[in-house]
Amino acid sequence: METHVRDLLPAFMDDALSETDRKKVEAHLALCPDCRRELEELETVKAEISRFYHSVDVPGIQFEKAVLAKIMPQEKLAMHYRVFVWFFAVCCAASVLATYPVMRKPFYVGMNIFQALFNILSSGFHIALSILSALPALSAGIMVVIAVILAVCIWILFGLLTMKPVKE
Amino acid sequence: MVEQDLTQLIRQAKAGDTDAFAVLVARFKGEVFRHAYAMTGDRMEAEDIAQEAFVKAWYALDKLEHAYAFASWMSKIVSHLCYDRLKKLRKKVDLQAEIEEEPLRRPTSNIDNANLRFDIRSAMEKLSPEHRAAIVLRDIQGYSYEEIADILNIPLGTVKSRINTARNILKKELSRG
Repeated sequence: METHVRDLLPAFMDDALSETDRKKVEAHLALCPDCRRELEELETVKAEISRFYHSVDVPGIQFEKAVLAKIMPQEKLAMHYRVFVWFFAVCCAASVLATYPVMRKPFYVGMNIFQALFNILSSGFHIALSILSALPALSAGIMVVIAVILAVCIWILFGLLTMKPVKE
Repeated sequence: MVEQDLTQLIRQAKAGDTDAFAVLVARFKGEVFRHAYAMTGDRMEAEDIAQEAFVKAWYALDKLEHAYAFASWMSKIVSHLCYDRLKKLRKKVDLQAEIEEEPLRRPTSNIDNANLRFDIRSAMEKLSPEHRAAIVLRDIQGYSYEEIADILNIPLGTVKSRINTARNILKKELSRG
């Protein structure tokens, strides 16, 4: 008798064999009661598994409700956010237009004040830079501080990576 | 459900119509739930995974190109969720090593119906998540080997091998009684 074809039986059941293999299996099955029994058993198992899981009760209407409940709040939130952004933009535009004739002069005054403040800040920044650059060994100090920070970060990271997970 | 209806429902759902999506959920919840239940063996977990799968699907509907692929697309989502959940629950049972050490022997007795009534779920739990996924998609969901390869993103030969191994393990477990 030819070699048994057990390894080919699952694919044979599913009609997933090549034409040559299928004919080989058919020819063997015609002669081999062991392989026929094996095939029957595999088919029974397949049928029982399918029957079992298809007989399981599917969740009722509350399932759809639960899914929608998970979707709806976020949808509503997104919609409210969009509405709010549009409303805010329209209000800003309307208020600018409505107050423009009255606020024209104060607006320009305000702009001058902002410009002066900006100049002060910019000058302060330049002064601070000049003072810092005049300090001796500044770059070496900065390098040391950066090295210390990096070393601490690597130490923390290593600690996290080697940490044992908490048992559930 | 007619293909045209499905296409229409998916188009409506993509446009943000939650009622249309609810109809899709009602239509596909059986397949999605059964898939998750066969993978986890736990009704509550399965229901939770199925809900999560639909929520994920809702937010990723734009990525779905063809309406006819909705079912297999959902199966992909459920498969990923089940793998993640099984990892989290540490229920993973990897029998691969055992199979390699002890090749399957031909059972000496037939499987009778009484034996088959014994807990199929416990037999399914003997499978690794990878083998379980393959057998669920084939024997419960009815996908072809090519579709399974696409859903699980594995070669066709691996699908055949996993189904073969899974069937042999299940037969062995069910024969044991």
